Amino acid sequence: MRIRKATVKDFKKVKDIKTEFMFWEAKRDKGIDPEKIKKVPFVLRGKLKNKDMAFFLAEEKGEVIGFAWAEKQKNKFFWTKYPFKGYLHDLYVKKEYRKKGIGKKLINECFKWFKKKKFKYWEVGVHAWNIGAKKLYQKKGFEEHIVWMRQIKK
Amino acid sequence: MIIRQAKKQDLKQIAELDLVLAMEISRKDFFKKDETILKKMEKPYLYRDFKNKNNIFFVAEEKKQIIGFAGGHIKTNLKFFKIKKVGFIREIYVKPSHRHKGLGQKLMREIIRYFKNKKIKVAQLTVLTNNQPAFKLYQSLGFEENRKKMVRRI
Repeated sequence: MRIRKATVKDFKKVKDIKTEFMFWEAKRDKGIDPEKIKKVPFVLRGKLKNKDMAFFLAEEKGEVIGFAWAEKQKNKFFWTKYPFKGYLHDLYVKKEYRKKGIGKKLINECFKWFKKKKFKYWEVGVHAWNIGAKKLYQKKGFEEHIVWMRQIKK
Repeated sequence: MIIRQAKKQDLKQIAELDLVLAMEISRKDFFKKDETILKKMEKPYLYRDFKNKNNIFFVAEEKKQIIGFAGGHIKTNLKFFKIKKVGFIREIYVKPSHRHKGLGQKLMREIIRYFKNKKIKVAQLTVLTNNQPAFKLYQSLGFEENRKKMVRRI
């Protein structure tokens, strides 16, 4: 199992795993429309070229079994102490390969990439129902900061 | 005490309360905002927001004094979401001297009713994890946790 940073040449691999991840999310988050997901990953080509973004692929015998997508984001003007932050957009490991420490390793690679860019903090969003992800991030030193709340009128 | 939609003449008073709110939040947050910039930019941003047709402001008025206000924003979601438009409650503030009288609930209800009249069925907001009073207010109105933002200082 090895982890490496994706380049534009890996477009198809990144698109496939990202699409798989979005379908996985759509099953659990009723708000996402699976029909529309097919179109989204095509913007990935541009993102792979973007120096403020990094995609890391976890590969086993040449097959992609997980990925992480990290981004250097600009903060709004009043955060003068923290002009930039690291944002972990996505983290996904295929079901059969979970509980093997791959998620942690992917996060570590993101950390290394962030450190090079000298941020002071980084952020990750996690679904309220995703207890596994929340525990993983807590183990990696993340704490809850903000909660998104929703009210649906029927 | 009446609750009504804000008018242009109310902006001056709202601006004062909005600044107090911004400072309060910044102090509760472990990421502090630059207060000098907040003080300078808060008013122009508020005046600009007021003109935006996707925004709505309600005020609680007693004896010609504005003792509380709430601001909402109608957001259009990205294409792959099933729900096209979401009502976002951006800020809510009640003067400390007038708290614990149910004003927070009343202001929230007005905004949610406004969204409902615009056929928007989903209301969203964000709240700092350590802001217990606000969290309880939202829970009492039927808001549920949807996503969490976690942070890690480097």
